[in-house]
Amino acid sequence: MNRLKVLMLGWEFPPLINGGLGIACYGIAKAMSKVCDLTLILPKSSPETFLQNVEIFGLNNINVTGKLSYQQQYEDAIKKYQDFAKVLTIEMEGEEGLHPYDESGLSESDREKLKRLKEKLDTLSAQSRGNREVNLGRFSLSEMYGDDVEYKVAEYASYVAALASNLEFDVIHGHDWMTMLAGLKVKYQSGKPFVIHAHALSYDRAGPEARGWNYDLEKYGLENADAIIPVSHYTGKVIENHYGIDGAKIFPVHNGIEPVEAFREKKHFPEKLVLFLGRVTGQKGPEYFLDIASKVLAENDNVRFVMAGNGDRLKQIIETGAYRKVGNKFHFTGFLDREKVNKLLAMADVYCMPSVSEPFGLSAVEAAQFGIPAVISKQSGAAEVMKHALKADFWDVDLMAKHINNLLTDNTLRNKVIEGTYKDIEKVTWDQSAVGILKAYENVLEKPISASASSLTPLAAPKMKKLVASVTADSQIGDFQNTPKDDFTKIAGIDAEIESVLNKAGILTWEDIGNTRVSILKELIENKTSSAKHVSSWHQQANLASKGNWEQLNKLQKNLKNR
Amino acid sequence: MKNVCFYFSLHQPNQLKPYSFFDIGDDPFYENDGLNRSFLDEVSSNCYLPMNAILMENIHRLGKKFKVCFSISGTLIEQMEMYRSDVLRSFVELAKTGQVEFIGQTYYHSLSYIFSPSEFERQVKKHMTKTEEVFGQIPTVFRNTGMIYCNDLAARVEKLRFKGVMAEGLDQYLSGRSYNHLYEAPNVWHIKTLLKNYKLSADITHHFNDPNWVEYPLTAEKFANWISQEKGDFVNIFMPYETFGQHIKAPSGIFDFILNLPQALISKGITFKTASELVDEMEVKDIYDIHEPISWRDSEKDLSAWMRNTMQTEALHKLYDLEEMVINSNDEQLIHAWSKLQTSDYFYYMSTKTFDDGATRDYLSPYPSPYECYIYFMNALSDLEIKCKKQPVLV
Repeated sequence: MNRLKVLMLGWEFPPLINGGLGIACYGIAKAMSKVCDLTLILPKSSPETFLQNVEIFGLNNINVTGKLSYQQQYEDAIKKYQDFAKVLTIEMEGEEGLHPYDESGLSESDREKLKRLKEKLDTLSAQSRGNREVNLGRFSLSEMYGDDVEYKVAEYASYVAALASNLEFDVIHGHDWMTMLAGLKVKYQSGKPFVIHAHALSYDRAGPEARGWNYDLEKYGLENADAIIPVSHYTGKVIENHYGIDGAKIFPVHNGIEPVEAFREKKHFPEKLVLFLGRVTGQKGPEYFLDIASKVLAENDNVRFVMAGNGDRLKQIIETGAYRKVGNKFHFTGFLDREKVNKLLAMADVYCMPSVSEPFGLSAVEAAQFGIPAVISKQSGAAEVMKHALKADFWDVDLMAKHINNLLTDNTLRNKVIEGTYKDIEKVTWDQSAVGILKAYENVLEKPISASASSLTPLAAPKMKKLVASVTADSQIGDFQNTPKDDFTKIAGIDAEIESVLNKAGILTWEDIGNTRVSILKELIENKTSSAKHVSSWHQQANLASKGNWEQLNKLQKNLKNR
Repeated sequence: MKNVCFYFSLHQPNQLKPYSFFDIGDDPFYENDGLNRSFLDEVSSNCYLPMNAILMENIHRLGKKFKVCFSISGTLIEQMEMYRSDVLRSFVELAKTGQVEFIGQTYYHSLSYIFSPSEFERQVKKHMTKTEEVFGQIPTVFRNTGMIYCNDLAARVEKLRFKGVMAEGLDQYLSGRSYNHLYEAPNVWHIKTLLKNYKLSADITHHFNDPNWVEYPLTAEKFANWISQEKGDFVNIFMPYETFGQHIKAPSGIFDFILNLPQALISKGITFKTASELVDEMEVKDIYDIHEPISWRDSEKDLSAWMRNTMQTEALHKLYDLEEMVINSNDEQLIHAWSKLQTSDYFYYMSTKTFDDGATRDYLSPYPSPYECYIYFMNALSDLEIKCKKQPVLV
């Protein structure tokens, strides 16, 4: 069987990344390369940009030659896009709102900018007018999202179309609005279907009132794509309802995540730690996190909160935190590198993601990989995959605070959430995403291709399970001095040494034993002691002990001895 | 005008290092020792050493006719003891001439007066003891941090046996009266209030180096002339010592100015007095009635430089909330660490004022913005709080 040929259009890609998009692109490309012949076109690549079995074109590194043909549909798109771009430069005027076709109110510099943009777009348009071979040279993009990005995405479209005229492919797959014009141009030129992968929308960044050129371009692209792959059902609903797109061509596919070597690190302070990780910007709900922190602290003084990240709301949050009088318990780290982020994850007791709108929320899944129970907003894609995480609407700070307090004080709940979430995220793999993407392709190509998915392994590698045990174990050290504990040596098969191993893992009471899976118990004592016996009976023994049924327990233990 | 009193305030804070969240509970050291040392070196060579030499030269030249007042904060004395004993020695040499009077203040240059009567008293006494130990004098006149003053302050330091207290002379409270007289608070027995002549003081601190000033350049002769023309019993020129050579750099001619000023004043028939001499010799003319604290900081001349925004008040309240726990610990190191965090400069650096006051803060602050200062401070304070809680409880 011939492998499917996919032309993928990206913007960010490791190592040139700005946020989660580059990481997601990498994960998707890597998984898709197992089942497709994948060609990836990027505006910019560095010598380190490499992925096995994927043909990557960095437009900054190659001389682009190819054929540009005239397509009325695309000319219409560009014309429309000129209008989108014009909106960019026009300010709001009174109650009437925007006057996109009236240039009289523009400042000199805005008019200049608009004129330059028009000229550039006209040049692009003229290039493709003659159905001829063109030599475009190298593409240059100084900043991923610089001032000139609105022009750069149009220019990128011409380069991609010219390059694509030399390539063979069955389907075009673009990521986010930056690649929409390019995808459409190639679609009109080649007649192949265009699939848009939606990682983030202007709706997420600017809320339901989001309008303007960015929104217009997104809407135009979504309307004219053959299929749309949002990273969650949540984002799918936004596309359907907010952008007015036909739900029949929306195929939500969750992101995956690369497995990590999680570890735990001892905190230097006695309090519990609740973590917010992300840009401190409206979309991420930092104000809500502060509200939640104030409410938790009102009930439980034994907690510290840390807001890790930088952003336009940071100063305001710092001052409000002081106003709320939580300055000694609510800390700020600013932007952190990966090493420091992992250090925080290794210390944290609860992860909180109160995002106002979060297409996916990779960071919550990362936290789960570190064995941190999460409290996340319902307005996120992560909430769909992390079924065992505790959830609330982003605005329901009371419920969020209640969840956090419960996780901090109720170890049974805590262990349940951690374990449940671990199981949930076993399915969060890029191979699993690839299966979903193939289904979307299948739909636009109207032919079965899912068979090729057999080379994918949608479940996480078994080493993930191992982490469950070690993380559950180490995360609890030093946290339980003051909680009541039971005498485990009353259980046949547990001696003092094993008891201390279990205690260190936070297993202190009969209930704790009952709530810990036998496989985890076994893993905990593995290599640490050879004296453990009858492990599979511990649940039963602990259950009897917790009820104070010593008679029955004695009987059971006699039976065990005689075995 | 027959009398003039020169008073110089001297203080250097201990700067916080970028104390991060990850340091809490782990790193017991909050200060940037390297930065403290280099600041002290810089201000010593720019100001302290050359100015001390100029004062010494005038004492040699004019004998008992020339005298000045100093108030040196405990944090600065400690820094000099640790890093620059040579600089401290040059101050001791000046003290030995008998022509320098030492003025009392809070040891840690703190805002303890606003937040804790007991802590304020402890620090004032600690500063008295240190001044006696190092310079052989017990101060009898007091000036509070940032020249913070009100009726209550006068009454409080009177109880601590001061006979005089310094204040900013503000027009809105003087109501047309002159600051060139001795005043008293309405609620005291005998303590006298000395007011700064803000106009003539500012001519040096703010205008000396301003080429757009109509009187530019200011000469010793001209300034002596102005003082001689002032009406009243005396003129108080109060200013930070660091004005000379540090804030206003040597090329401006500031050293020549101050070198020649004493002789110029004496030749106009003006007598140098110390603060305590004025208190002893002059008559109280009227009541200076200040109900709310005033200061010499920022254009508002109130407490707003240190405690206007929420970061400042939060940091201060959380700091003083720990007082009982810290003091009861009887742990000298812990008490000292907590006390040093009281230094008012931190709260000043947290100010978010803009325009001129903001520009002055940015010039003085070693932090990129008020927010960093707040973050480092609160992290350090959290560490201190954890240490406090670890202390065994003494019953």
